[in-house]
Order: sequence, then structure tokens, then C-alpha cells
Amino acid sequence: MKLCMSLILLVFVLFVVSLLVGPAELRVEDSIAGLFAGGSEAAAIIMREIRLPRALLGLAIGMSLGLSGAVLQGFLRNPLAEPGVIGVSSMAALGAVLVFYSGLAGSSLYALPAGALIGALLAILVLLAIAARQGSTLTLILAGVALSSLAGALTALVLNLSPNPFASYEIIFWLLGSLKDRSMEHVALALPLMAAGWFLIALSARAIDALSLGEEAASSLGISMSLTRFLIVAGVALCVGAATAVTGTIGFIGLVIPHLIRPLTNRMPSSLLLPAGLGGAALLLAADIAARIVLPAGELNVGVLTALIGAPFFLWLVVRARREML
Amino acid sequence: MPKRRKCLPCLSGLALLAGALLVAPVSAAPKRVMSLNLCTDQLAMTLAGPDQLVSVSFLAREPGLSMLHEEARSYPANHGLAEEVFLENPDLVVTGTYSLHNTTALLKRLGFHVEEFSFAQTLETIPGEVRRMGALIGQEKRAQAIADDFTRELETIAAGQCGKDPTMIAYDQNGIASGRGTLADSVMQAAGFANLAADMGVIGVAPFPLEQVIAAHPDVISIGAPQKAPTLGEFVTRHPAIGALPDTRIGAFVPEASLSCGIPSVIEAVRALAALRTEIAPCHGNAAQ
Amino acid sequence: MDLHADNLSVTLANRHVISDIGFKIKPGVLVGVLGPNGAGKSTLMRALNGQLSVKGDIRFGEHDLAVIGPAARARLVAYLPQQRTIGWRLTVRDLVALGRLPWRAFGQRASARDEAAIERAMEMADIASLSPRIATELSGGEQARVLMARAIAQETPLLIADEPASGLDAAHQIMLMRSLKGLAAEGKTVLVSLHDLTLAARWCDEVMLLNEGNLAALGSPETVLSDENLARIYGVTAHRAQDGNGLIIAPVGLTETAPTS
Repeated sequence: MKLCMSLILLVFVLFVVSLLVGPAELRVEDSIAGLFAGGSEAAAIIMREIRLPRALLGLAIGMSLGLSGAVLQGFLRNPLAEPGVIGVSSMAALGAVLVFYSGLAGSSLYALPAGALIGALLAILVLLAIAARQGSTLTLILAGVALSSLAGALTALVLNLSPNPFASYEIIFWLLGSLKDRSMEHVALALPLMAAGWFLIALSARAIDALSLGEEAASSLGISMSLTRFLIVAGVALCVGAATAVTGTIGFIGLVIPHLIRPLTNRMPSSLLLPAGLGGAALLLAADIAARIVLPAGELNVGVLTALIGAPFFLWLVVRARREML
Repeated sequence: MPKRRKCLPCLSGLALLAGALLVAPVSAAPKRVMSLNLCTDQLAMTLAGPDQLVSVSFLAREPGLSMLHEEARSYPANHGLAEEVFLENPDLVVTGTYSLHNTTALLKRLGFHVEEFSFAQTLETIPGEVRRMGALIGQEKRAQAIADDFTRELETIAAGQCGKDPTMIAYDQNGIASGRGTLADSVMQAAGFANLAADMGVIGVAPFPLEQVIAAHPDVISIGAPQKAPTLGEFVTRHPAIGALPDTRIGAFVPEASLSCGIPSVIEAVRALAALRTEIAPCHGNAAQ
Repeated sequence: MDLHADNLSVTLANRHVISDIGFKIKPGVLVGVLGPNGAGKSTLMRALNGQLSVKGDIRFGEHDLAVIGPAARARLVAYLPQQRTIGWRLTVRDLVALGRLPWRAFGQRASARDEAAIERAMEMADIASLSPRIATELSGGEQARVLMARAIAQETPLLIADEPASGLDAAHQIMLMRSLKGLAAEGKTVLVSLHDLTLAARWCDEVMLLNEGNLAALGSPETVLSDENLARIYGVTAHRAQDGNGLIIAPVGLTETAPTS
């Protein structure tokens, strides 16, 4: 597993760089001291309460998005399947926005993942129903486009209707996510859910391999389709729901990474899972570092960067998918 | 800092002069005054005689924006539409320079007497604005009294301060800080605080990285009061990193809506912050230096 | 183990696709499943593999195939669907190795026995030389052989293959039938649906003739593929001949009366 080892190394390096980048411009030795030594000096607070949760979330959310993309592509035998493209992320954002801004749960942060999970779950169930009836690549993508536009519009509507005038400024956050100013509370909120999602997705590894041969052959190889569907729907909903709840919609990671990594593997869907997760973590960490460097004070939304990389890539894939089926 | 302070008297002098030039002697006080702007609403409500003010803007009733929101309920509300003005046919319309451009232009063309207030984002121009409004609606005496009270209280507050100014940042939703050229900055200075954001070069209301707040370690972080409808931006001002700062006072120290307009009631914000300063840096009976 | 079906019916979208079929097949027999388009061949094969909900009994030895779980079934029955799906640019060997999935626990590596089964299956399907090639870049016939090898590698006592010969060249059709015959000779039960009457007649031990969801005939190729049955069910007249290795049936024309459909 040379590939995994080098990816782990890359993720580690980016994680460390992510800890060292920030507007406070701490010196490297102060950063390290702040992270490990105790105390309540500014450096310690910045490292432990601001930069560490940010790097942890970048790692875990990138991992979740990479894994979700890889498992969805394997499950649907569709190289364009990705939580952002097919509208799962935007539905998760809508769910979070509906529950949070309505104030149903007071102003508790727990409202966010609850709503996002429901939104993601609904989206996947709708898409699977559509994809199951008509297996074509295009159908799924078109359904995803419809779902994302609807969810995006409704998100904007809900935020505009909020009695709090500041809410409408947060449309951008939900449509193009950001890791800015997250805290350990967000890590505690999202990480357990994402870890559960990783576990469920890992359990589906055999099934997505067998599904390379189609559903009937897979089922004849001892794969329970209903169990597999449950594992993947729940796993992706947990990953994407929890990720979107704390960072808004971050698109294209689950699309770009599996494609970059697949040629480096034997292309068996299961052997793509771990490298795609690690690759996703590396990409999101790198994008988040770039977001802080490009505009140090104002800070770019990281979703803008992933879209800038991902959207042209997606176009290229669409053009290529016409010529050769992967 | 001292440099800027030196310049202030000449600025307020200019404002006075401008006020005097703008307010040509009005022969008779207008009987029916209509206000279309949140800030002129509050100024007019403070100064107008009984039945002189026919309506104020609907925003004047918002507790989050208007210090006089209760009083505003006793006036009819308008939405700043030219049609409303036309039907009401007031003798004088007062509004803000930066709002309702088109409406103002239209009303002027229709021959209404429209007076605009620019509300500079500083305390020094407030007495001048009060006197100008007073002159416009024929309440010069009341205006003069309010303006004098305002100036006197500012002086008293300034005299009660001693020692080095504690640092403060006005930190709002999504990590937005009030820098130089804002009313909040002026209020902080008047109350004897050094505005951290202004000192670090922030101009106007702009994003201020959370990390820099922590690194600068201000004595006071003034945040907005929690709203009924939640936003994610609020969580930035409630970030655990802020809470972890030792010896930093964090809270909604400024009365709600007191900073939304450059009008005499902004003195309540100055008073609140001045009280906080006295608590943080008491003078121990030593005379102010 | 005997394959035993009793009162077997399948209803799809309110249409009886298989009505009340019963049969018994002994182990070590290569059975050709024949019948015109829409006779229910694929439906029967899917039903035997538990892909459809059925009425009636399907038993394989002591196992009730109608209720058995997918993992246990995968060690008893290998199934090659008619639809040839290859989802990714996998190598031939990796594809064939998927046939060993039912025998490997989660996360377990391929054992020596798995490796042997994969090698053998590739030999039987004559694809050993294609082993490192990307399966999606192969011709249709080559892909068919790769997928057949995948089913063979599963090494189950019952093998069900839906039209494995379609798209194969003449030599590979014969190679395929020889391999299937060899599997039957090992004591496995092999069910294979075919369109080629000669292929069925020469290689199969028994032929099951389906017509409109009913079992029209089951028995030796000579008795089942009679002129009368071919005329009644396929609506064709056939030229037949016999050589040292068996029957040759070449359809040459249509009967006067159209087939009963």
C-alpha cells in the first residue's frame, strides 16, 4: 500500500501546514509551543481553539467527501456521481438551514447536523429511486441538478425570511462552504457522525466490488442489495450531512479525488475507498490553506476554490464520458 | 491619537458653519412635518411639538434599531414612499442623505420642502444636527438645551477618566469589527477606550480575524446582544477561543439600538461604556490628570 | 444434489411469466434451456437464483433456494446474467477473481485455493492470455468469456448461465460447451440457456424446452428437439443430420401455420 502511505504523509504535511497558517502570523516555534505546552497565552488559545479544530475539520470533512464520492461512484457504477453534483450536499444544507434558522431548536448547534442528516437522507433516497428505475448516467446527473437548484433556492428563501437581518448574509456560507472560525464544539458535533459514516461505507466495500458486474451478478455473489443500499445511504448521509452541517456545501471533492486516484489503484471500487478518503482530506486541507493565503484578512470561502478546481474538471469528465465509459 | 483629537474642534466648527449656512431663517415653523428616515425620526420625535409630526418611518418602531421605539408607536408609520408623502402633503419632509435617493429627488421635483441629514459617524457633529433640526421645525430653544446637555455630558465623562485607556474591540456577527470612521469608534474614544480595530488600521466596518482578536488580547470585547432568531455568525462572537482569554471582559455592554444613529441618545452608549471603564480602571480618588 | 422445482410460478407486472413448472435434475447433468424469445428462459434462471419472488418450491439438495440467504446461496449457485456488465476498467484477472468473493471473509486476502480456482476458470474460458488486459477494452466475445470465467471461478455445485454462447465465435462456442460439459462431468449441475439448436443437441445431456412460461418438454435432445416440437414451438422446419458425435439441427424455413403465440 505504497499509495496509501504516501497519501498519509501528504495529509500529515498539509495538516501541519494548516496549523501554521493564519492571520495572527505566529512564529513556528510559538505555534508548536502553543499547541503542546499548557497555558492561556494567546498562542495557546489560537492553536488549540482556532487552528486545531479547523485543521481537524478539514481533514475529517475532506475524508468524508472523498469517501462518499468513491462509494457513490462504485455503487451506482457512475463516474459522475458525487454528493455535491447530485444535490445531496445542497439538500443537507437546506435541511440544516430549515431547522436552525427557524429557531425550532433554540439556537443550539445540534440543530445543524440533525437537519442536515435528514436533508441528505431524503436526497439520496430520491436519487436512488430515480437511478434505480433508469440506470443512465445522465438521469442521475439531471435529477441532481434539479435537486441542487431547488435546494439552493429554498435555502436562500429561508435565510431571507429569517427575522434576523444578518441571516441573509449567510447564504454564501451555505452555498459555498467555509471552515472559518469553527471551534472544537463543531468537531465534537460532526466527527462522531462522520466516523460512523466511514464505518458504514467501509462495510460496503465487498458489495461495491461485486456491483462492478451489475446488480444481478452482485446479488448472485452473495451481496444483499437491501443491506448494501442501507449501508451506503446511511453512510453517505452521515458523512455529507455532518460535513455540510458544520461547513456548508463544499463541492467537487468527491468527484475530483476518485478520478485522480483511480488510475493509481487496480480500479477495484473497494481499493479506491481509503486512498480517496485520504486524497479528499489532502485536497480540502490544501484548499483551505490556499483560501487563507489568497485573501488573508477577508478570507475566501473554501467552497469557491473547490468549485474553481472541480467545475472545469466535471465538464472535462462529461465530455470524456461520452467517448469512453469508465 | 492626540493628533486626531486636536483636529476635532475644527471639524465640529465646520459642521456648525455648514448648519448655519444650510438652515436659512424660516419665517414660520412648519405645522406638519413628516420623517422618512430612522435617524431623522428619532431626532424629530425628540424635538417636535405636539401634533407637529404627522408620521415617522416604520423602522422607528423596531426595538433592535430605534431607541424611541415605544414612543414611535404613538405616531402613524410610513414606508418612505413618495405616494405617502403626496397624500399627506406635509410642510416639511426630513430624511437621510444616504437613503431613498429616488424618493427625495422625486419629492423635490414635486415641490415639497425636503431637508436631508447626512449623520456623520461621529459624536462631534451631533449638537450641530440637533440645532439644525430645531431650527427647521421651529424648536430652537429645546434643540439648544439638548445640544448643550449632550456636549456637557461628554465633557464630564472625559474629565472622569484617568490612566491609560483600556483597549476594546466592538466585535459583531461573523467577526466584523468597527474601525475608524464609525460611530462605535467615536463612542469608544469618548468613553475612554482605545479602539483596537481602528488602531490596527481597520477603516469602517470590516472583517477582523478571530485570531488577531486573540493575539491582541483586548481588555474588553463588546459583542451584540443575542437575537431571537439565531444565525451562525453569532457563534463567532461566542467562540470558545474568545471565552478562553483570561481577564478579558466580554459582553453586550452597549444598550441595544443606541449605536444605530448619530443622535443625542447615543450618549447612553457612551455612558454605559464609561461606567465599564470606571469599573476596569478606577481613579482611586486621584484627580484626573 | 438434485435440483428440484415444484409448482413454480413467477408473476411479473401481473403477467404470468412462468406458470406452474415442475422438474427434477440430477447432479452431473448439463441441461440446455431452450425456447423462443419470451418463453421465460431468463425468468426461470433468475428465479432459480433467487433474484425474483416466486410461488412454489425450488430445492437444491436439502437447501430451499427460495428462502436461503444470499451469502449461503452464493456458495451453492453461480449465476451468469444475460446482461453483460463491466463497471470499471478492471483487469481480466481482477474481474474473474470477483467470483471468489463468496468464499472470502471480509477483508481476507485471496487464498491459494482462490488463486487455483481463478487460474482454472481462466483456462476453461480460454482467457489466460488476456489476464493482464483491461476487460472493457476487449471485444464482446472476449468479455463474454471473461464473465463466464468469473461464474466458473465461483466453484459452486450449481451453475446457471444465461446465453453464455451469444457473441462467441464458432471455436469459442465449442470450447465453452466443452468446458461446461467438463464441469458437469465433475458432478456439478449446469443449466445453460441457448439459441443454437445444434449446440444444444450435441452437447447437452438434457434439454428443457419452454413455451410461453410453460415447460413444453424435458428430456434427451433427440426426443425434445423433435420436428414436431420445433414446428409447434419455434414455428420452423429444420434439416437434421447425425454424425458420430451427435445430432445436427439446422432450421431452414418457417412452418405454414405461424407459431402459437
